[in-house]
Amino acid sequence: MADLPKVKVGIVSCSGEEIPEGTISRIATMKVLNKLRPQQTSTICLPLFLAGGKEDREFARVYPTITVDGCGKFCAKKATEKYSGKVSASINVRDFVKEGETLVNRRDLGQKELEVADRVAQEIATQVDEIVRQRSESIAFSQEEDVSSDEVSNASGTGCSCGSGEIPYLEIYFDGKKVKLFYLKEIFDFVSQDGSKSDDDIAERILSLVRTYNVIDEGMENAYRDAIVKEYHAYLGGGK
Amino acid sequence: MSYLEYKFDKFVFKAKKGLLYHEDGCWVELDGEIAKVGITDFLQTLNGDVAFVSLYAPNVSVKQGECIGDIETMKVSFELTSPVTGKIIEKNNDLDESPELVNNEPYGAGWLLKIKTTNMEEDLKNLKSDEQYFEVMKKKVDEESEKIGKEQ
Amino acid sequence: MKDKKVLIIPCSGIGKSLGSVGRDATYEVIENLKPGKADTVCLALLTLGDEEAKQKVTSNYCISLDGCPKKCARKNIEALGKEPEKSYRTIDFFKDNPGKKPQGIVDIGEGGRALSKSIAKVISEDVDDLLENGRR
Repeated sequence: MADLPKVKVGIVSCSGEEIPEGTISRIATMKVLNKLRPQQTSTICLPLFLAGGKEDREFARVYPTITVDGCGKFCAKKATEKYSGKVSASINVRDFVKEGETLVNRRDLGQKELEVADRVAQEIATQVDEIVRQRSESIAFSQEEDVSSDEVSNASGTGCSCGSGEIPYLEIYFDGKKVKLFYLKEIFDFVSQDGSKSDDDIAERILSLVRTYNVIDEGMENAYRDAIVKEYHAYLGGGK
Repeated sequence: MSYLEYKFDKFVFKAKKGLLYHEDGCWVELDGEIAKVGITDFLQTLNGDVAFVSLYAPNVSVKQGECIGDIETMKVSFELTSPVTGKIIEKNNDLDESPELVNNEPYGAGWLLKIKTTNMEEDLKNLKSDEQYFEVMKKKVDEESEKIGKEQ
Repeated sequence: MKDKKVLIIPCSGIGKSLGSVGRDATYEVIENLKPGKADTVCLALLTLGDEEAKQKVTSNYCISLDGCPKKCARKNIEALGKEPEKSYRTIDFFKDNPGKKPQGIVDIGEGGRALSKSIAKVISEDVDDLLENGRR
């Protein structure tokens, strides 16, 4: 049976050395990564990302990301959009500070700061759940299944053993240019297992899965749909 | 140089082709009766930044499966198990000043020891080919997935 | 030279305890050991071209404090055309102080705090040296 990789969400935290909100952002991110959603998240190291970290940038290109910023300068969000692509959710720690509250500690967080960190962590976890839910809807995969079971671990393998080390992709021609779509072959194999369905159904299913692993600009879906369905039929006919 | 590669999250785990592998995490590159030994990419990624490498000295005899030293990283300390039987003839002294070579080039400049082998015919029975090890490595990556790239 | 400060710029790498130790050492210097003489700047802000951050870096002395051999703080500063007056890696301090091992990223623990203090002591001496004698 064809498998698709499990959806993981990358969390990019600002480091904000100058302000307590930067430390809060870090603490909240680590709480999500280690305690609240360890299976569904991965962290992206912002300084490494900015310094050219290839693996982090590619991960953020393929998988959905949530950025957590400490202030209105939105460094984590800007960096992710500059080097990888649109973010799925953007959180500003300052939105979780109660009116009139002043945060003071940027080194060892006090009670006030820790409470803010908890609120931010909960919000990140909520956003993770929503992203995973939306993107996994078309994959017959329940996030509540016991991940130690053989069936789930086979179906959710996140590794690619294609031998190249690259995330697998196919190129399609779209709007006069070549576009790289990650996991497209795997999606085609997966959908072809459904048995005969109308072209409309097939298109919806494929597009939904493509959106899971690729960023499709708003308003472009119909145009992508036609190109992808054409590729799908060519693929089934042995065109690729 | 070519590798078998397995991608997990943002990590790419490599097994270098043409080497032999011991289940405890060391690889072997044979040149006649001389075995160059190092640790696998999986082991270095799992255990984090290497701070200290302590190895047995030249002229010490070792047996397959026995200790040849230890590595301390920022996460853990772990023992190194010899993949072959023989006598140590050379230690990689670059690792004293630059232990990060084990992380950055586990199959290259981060090698650990050279051992003159004395029991290769028997030892081979306990070593895996690159492809055999690759299958084992993929399973280990999936099993240890929660620990990979994470410190608490 | 009188008005200049020394900026300590940690990498703040979130994936490793070494990043947290560097951050803690920075705060130890700028808040406890050399307040008013040393300061810090957000590395991400700097790298993304914030004018205020760039101005701060170009008009003061800089010490980069990286957590690991990847040296992201140093690389990001150099990418702006500035060479830090001093560069350190937290892991090198750990090699000299093997008993002071950080326990984690969120809570660096007793070992991490001890390591942070050792780093801060060295850097605070650099602060005095730079403010007294300038770049050598």
